[in-house]
Amino acid sequence: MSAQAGDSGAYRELLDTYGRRLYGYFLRATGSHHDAEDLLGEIMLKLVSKLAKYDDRGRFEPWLFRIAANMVRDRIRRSRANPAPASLSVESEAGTSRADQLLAETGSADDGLLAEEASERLQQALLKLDETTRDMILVRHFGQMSYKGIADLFQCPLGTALARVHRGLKALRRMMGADYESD
Amino acid sequence: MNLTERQYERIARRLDGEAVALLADEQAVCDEIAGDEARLVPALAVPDGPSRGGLRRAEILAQIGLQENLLGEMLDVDVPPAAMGRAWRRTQVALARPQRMLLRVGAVAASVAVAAGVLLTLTLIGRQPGGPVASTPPASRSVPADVYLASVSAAQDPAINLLAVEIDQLEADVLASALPASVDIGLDQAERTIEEFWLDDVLVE
Repeated sequence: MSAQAGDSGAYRELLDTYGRRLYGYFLRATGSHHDAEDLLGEIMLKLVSKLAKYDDRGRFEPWLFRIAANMVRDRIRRSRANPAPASLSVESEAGTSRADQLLAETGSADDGLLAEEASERLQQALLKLDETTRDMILVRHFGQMSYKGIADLFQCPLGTALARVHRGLKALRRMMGADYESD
Repeated sequence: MNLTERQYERIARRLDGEAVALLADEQAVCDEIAGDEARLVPALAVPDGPSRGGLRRAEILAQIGLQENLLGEMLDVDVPPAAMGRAWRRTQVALARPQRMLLRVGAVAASVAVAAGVLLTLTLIGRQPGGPVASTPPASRSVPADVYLASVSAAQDPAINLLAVEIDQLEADVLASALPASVDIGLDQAERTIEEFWLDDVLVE
């Protein structure tokens, strides 16, 4: 892998390939655009030091999202230790919640508005799940991780990992209500 | 529907792509999970990706990391094995230094103690009333020195011998260089007066 050899162009490619998914994972896991961007920068920096140790016999994505998941856990642990007043809603760069923004955007198309509202509701529902279950669901989706990989990452039996995800998905469905069912 | 851990494991393996035959209730849960996951995909899609600034920042951070790595490689040097050997020997010397210092201090302290003992003995002998040293000071000084040298030579220690000779020499120098005190001058004059008196008497005779 050319990134392992220190090729800066390869890092640009990595960012182009995985940046959006990583950002999505960070955003859904933390509920903050600011944290998501911060973590995205941080993981690129981490990759530079960690890629040298990456064994390319394994799959890259699970490895990458394992790092991302650990970073999110660290971030949440730190924010618990130093709690800052923050809304659970997904914030914009300006610091206002998406719901506030949506109310202000009267000229937006209805479809877009509905999608944004659903996204916001899902975010609220995700943040109500316990941290481990939420992270399992997010890593599964954004990291396209197998259940075996999730079990390894969270150091629990395979059956336990799926049981947690199953319960989490049911809880999400329940919280999202009729709209989610009809999607 | 409550499944066992084992059943969930079988479903997980099936969802991971293994060819695992599932029972009816297991299959139902498997379908339910797959359906929920599929439903989640569009909902989880992030409406806004990272901002251009955020992407740029991430890219710059990666560049900084790379430059740090390069700098680290440039700063690293191969250490010649001989230099490592020398450094180790110097370390060993430094580690042994306090011990040797103690030994030296001990030797000096022992020599000083011996010298002090000798001086004390000399002083005590010199102060004995009616003793040979007191009656004829300059000539009799060799007697205790001989005694001392004899005792030192008996000890068979060349260092102590040397020290004793040095002390002896120093003592002689001090005596030779000392200015006569006023009392001594007065005594000399009185002695000369008495001598002259007796000589005068003799001349008269």
